[in-house]
Amino acid sequence: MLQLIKKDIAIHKFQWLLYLAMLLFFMLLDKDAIFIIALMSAIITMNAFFADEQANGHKLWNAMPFTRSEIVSARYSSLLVVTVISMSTVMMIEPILNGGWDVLIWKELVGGVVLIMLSGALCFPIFYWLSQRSVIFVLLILYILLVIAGAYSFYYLYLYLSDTLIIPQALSDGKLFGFGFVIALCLYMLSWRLSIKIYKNRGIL
Amino acid sequence: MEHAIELRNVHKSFGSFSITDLSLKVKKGFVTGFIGGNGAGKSTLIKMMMNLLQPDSGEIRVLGMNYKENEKKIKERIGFVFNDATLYKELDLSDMKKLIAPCYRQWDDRLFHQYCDRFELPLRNKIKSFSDGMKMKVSLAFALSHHADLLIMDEPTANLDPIFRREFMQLLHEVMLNEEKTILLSTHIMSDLSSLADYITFMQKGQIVFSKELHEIEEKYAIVRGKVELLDGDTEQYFLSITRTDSGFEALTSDYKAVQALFGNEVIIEKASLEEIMYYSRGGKADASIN
Repeated sequence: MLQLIKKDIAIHKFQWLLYLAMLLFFMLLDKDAIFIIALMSAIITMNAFFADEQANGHKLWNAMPFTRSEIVSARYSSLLVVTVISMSTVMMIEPILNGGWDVLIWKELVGGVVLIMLSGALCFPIFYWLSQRSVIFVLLILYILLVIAGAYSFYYLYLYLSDTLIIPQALSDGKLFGFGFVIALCLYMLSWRLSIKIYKNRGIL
Repeated sequence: MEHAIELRNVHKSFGSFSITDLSLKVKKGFVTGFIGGNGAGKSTLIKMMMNLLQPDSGEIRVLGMNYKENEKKIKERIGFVFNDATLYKELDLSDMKKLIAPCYRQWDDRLFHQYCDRFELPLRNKIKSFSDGMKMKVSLAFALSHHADLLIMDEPTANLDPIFRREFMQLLHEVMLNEEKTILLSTHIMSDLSSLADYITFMQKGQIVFSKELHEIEEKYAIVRGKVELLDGDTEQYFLSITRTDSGFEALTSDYKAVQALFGNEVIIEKASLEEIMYYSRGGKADASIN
């Protein structure tokens, strides 16, 4: 399975430079870290799905010594790996551009992870259900739009929760983000299992 | 283990197409040619043999194992070539090899480079610059570079020019010098099989019409031409299919000697090629029942 995760990273090859340029561009535009992390992770993952669809990847990897569970699990794992890469890059560049880390950046990092897990949890089972059909290319674009919309929704939801009296009294930011992270993780795990089930029952054309 | 692949009572249906109660054995150490028209079910059957499609019911064993318990072990020992390329077009061949090679325990890098040299494949060019024929060569190089015991090829020669098609067949001859290896090859190009195949399996409308040794087919199948008056309820039983014209009939038989004994010099009998067998078997019987 490790080989499949490596594949998801390696197939981008020189596109990694483009991703870095995009990330820098968004950081120079002073976009929120949550937006940048979630969007970059989603773009890289979408591109991996896209490359697999174009290369008959389902046929290739299923004909090789891998099980369907491994193929699905590798994609779920590689999304997390890509998110960690995006987070680390943002963390490394942030001090260079802004002279140090904002003390509240952890909220944006956790927010980015939560958002990418929630959007992945929602979309991946659909991708596996509709793989090898041309509609998948439209859905991949919708996935990116969903992540962008999610980043803004997340931001305004946080503002709303902070403005209400009950939430700040009942939950500290730490608990609120921790709670969100646990829910997102649970949904991600459920989605993971669901995608394996869907993919196992799919015929590879 | 005598058989590389065994299918027992396999059922599979989607839409209007179905494979019903199909049983087949592919002998280990031989080349089996898989023939049939478009939509006959060859690719479906090959995909089931590779666990890309699961049968609705029935049992499939490959190299003596089933997929439920030994999926990775089986696939480790299969080399595959599909009719459509399974390659990342933005990568070069060297990158592609780096993705595939570590997936096989028995990967032989030296052998892979030998094939690349032999097929004149540039390692540093992007796959998208390759012709269809070159992509097929790449697939073949990958299939042959991990010492697979079983090679499964779904119409590999369809996009190849005549020169490389010959080279390809020559290569498969070389592969078969190792008696442990088995090849299952589906094709539309019958001439590919006449020099290579030991067994021929003919599929039609999701059914196996026959699965026999090539020399047996060459000995027994014949095209018979004669006058329509020779046909009646008794004589027609000797034929798998009959085409009547104003000037006479043309029929396919799977019992050359019996027909010769029956009609003598009243008919013209010629050995049937695989292409003729396929052509005349459309809608015909699987076996002539001679009482």
